[in-house]
Amino acid sequence: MEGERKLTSGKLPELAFYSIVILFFLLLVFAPILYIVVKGCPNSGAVCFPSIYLTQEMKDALFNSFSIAFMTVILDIIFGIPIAWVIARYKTKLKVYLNFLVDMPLIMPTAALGFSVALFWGGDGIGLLGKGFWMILAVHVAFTYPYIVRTLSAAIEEVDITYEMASRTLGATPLTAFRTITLPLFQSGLLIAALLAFTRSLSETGATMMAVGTGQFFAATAPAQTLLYKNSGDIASAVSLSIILIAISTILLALVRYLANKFGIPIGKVYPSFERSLNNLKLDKNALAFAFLISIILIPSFYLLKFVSYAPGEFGDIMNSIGISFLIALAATVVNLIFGIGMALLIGRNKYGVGPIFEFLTDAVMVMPTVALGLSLGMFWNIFKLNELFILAMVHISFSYPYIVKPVAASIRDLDKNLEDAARGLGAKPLVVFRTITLPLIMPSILAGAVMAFMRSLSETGATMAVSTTFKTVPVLIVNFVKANQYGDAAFASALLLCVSFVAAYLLRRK
Amino acid sequence: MPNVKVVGVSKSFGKIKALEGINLEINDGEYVVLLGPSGCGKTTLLKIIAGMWEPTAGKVYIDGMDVTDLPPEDRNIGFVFQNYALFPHLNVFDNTIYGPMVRGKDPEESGKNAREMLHLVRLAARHEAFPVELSGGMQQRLAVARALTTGSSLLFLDEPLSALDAKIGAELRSEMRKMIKDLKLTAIHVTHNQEEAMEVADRIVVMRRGRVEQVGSPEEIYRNPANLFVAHFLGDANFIEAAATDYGTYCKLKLLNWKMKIPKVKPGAYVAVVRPEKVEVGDGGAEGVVKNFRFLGGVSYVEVEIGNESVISRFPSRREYELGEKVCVCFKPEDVKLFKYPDEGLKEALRVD
Repeated sequence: MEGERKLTSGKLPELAFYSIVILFFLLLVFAPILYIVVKGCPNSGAVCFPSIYLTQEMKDALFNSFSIAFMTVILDIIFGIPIAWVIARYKTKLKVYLNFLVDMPLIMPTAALGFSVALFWGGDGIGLLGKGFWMILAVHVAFTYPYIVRTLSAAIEEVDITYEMASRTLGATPLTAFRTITLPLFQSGLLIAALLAFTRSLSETGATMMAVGTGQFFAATAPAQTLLYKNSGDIASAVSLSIILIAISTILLALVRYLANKFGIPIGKVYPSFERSLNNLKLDKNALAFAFLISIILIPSFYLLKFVSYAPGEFGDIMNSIGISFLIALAATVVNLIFGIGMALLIGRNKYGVGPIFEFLTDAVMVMPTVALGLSLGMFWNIFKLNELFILAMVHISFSYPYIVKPVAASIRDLDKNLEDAARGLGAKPLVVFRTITLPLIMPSILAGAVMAFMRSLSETGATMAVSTTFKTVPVLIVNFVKANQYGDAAFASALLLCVSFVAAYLLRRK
Repeated sequence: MPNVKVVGVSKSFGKIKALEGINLEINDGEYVVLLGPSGCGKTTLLKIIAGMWEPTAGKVYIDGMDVTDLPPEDRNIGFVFQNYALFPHLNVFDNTIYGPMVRGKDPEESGKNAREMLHLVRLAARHEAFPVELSGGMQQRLAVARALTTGSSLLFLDEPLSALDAKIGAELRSEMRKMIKDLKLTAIHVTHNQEEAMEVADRIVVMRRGRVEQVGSPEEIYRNPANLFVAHFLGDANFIEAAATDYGTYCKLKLLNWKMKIPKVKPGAYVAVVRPEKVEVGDGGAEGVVKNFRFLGGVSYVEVEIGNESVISRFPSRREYELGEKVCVCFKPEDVKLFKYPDEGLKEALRVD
């Protein structure tokens, strides 16, 4: 009897619930992304890769993309670790302020951030860099830095500080202790952080366009090149490049996930006297990283505020775009909250043993270049001749989906299962347990995920440009302004969006 | 050869004073236990001597040298952590050889030392295992081996047995003491377990609320506790309210419903401390009724209610008592330790936290 009652009141609705969650993900998030792979074939229906081709132009764009992404990650890690370290290990107020400072670039749409950084380094600022490769690198470092620092500090925080102390009592200098003990223990976090920054750099369109040149867009990176093909009507090339990008990022993800578990960073030899003397240099790594944060990330990111000028003629357009941006971001966040938390439960609890599969698929969506994703979704939904605003919303739902699922799944996994058992033991039904125990405990990560998804949607350029023809979100508008050399309007739109996002984020946090 | 001297060490965390003016001397080759309830500052003191924390005031000397400003890696020590802190990504052998390696010792000789040490702690056969694959007792032994392979002869042990089952812990502590004595090490061991302290220590430092209450050999501290708290924390004791009155050449102590003749003391209110094994249940003395009786194998306990106080007697099991049975308890004057009745009240004086 006991088992029977459970089956009717618990198991069946549960199965139905998870089926809906899975169907939502597969049909509305994942399948549309893969549509481009099918579409890429002349005899559509079968997956046939020979139709993909690679011109010299594409090769150059891919080469640029990868070398920039690679160098971005290296710079981020070198200057990110010390700051992540301070955030993770210091218990003072400094930690709170640093967290805030590091997160600041996240509230800036990447197009605006790229515009700002390009202004700072370029002729309108300190005039150190011309537009092109190095400028793109500077821009990419600025917008990926918060991702690296966030992920790294979370990973470092998980390594028990006692290990370091143990190493010190055994005679290791702080540097040796870090290299031989702490680093190997958070290496999987390091790899994940590197992957995240790498794919964000590989995927970014809006910010790249700002660093490439105004007036006409010469395509510097693969996503920008894809957009260029699409806009000039060369759909076949756009599709080819997109499929290659999707394939590469998925393979990279699989490789990193495999490596993260398999290989250890070898400790290698220890050079006690050398590392000791290095340690005795008293080179203040923290101060160095702090200087990097201020001068390479923060000041360039917000430099555009200097250029704000008010042109009443564009005010209507700007307000209109802000409205569209917020509407889409809100829709994406709400829809993803509804279905994403279900997926997070599925992954975090490893229901029916399918957790790892869906975790990988969710990750695959996250690392996918958004231009390719947007192109694919646009084509897919166009089959049904749907309203463009709806298609835009669907695109934003797709790429922001992982940003809610991942943190929530992680916090569900970390949840002490005993707490739920204790509640059951006190007589609470499963649904009541979820509402009164589980939900309040994972609420911080739900909120964090929601803010992240919202900001990502607000900030996205490439995916929006890949589908929209009539509707302009703020980042697209900013790109257009810059294209038309209307710097003052671009700065004004950025600043306005910044204010609105800031207020929105503040209100959300306060709740 | 290491001796340790702590002079006027204080430590504050914000407004909380964890340690207040600690003075302590530890001789070469001595096994000293810092004993006290949790939050008494014993681990703080240990970590200050080891160099993990800086004192707010005071100095630490190791081997006559002022090491107050030296980081732990420059103090030439061995440290066994409460949860061992074995490096999870290194196997047993690599954990053991880590110390000599980062100190730049000769690899061949270090390897030999590490193998010897693993042999000594009976882990030689498991040298390729990773810490998670070891039992709690093995992990503990590995932690000790790792700390000793550095070649240091000053060993710190922070609650080294608290994570183990009581029985394994009790076995390991005698083994550990023997090894430390055989290797002629100086050891500072922190614990809240008085039984463990009594068994391993040459000298015990009893701490409470950031201060040292008493320093002495286990026997000294048990027989001659410096104050009510020490008497309470080390072993069982009866605390009986008493009043002394002067009779010229001697005094009379009024306690329970009984009076006993004692050597001369200042008249006034006292607390009489009597260990349960010194209390006899028989015909003479204070009259009361049996409130509780417990048979624990070799020994038995009987609790006798007298007025609104009660006295516990421990004796080798020979007979049983019925609840409510009328009995008398007595003890000899020389087994009574008198403390002036504390101003803050008896309960407060005994409080453990």
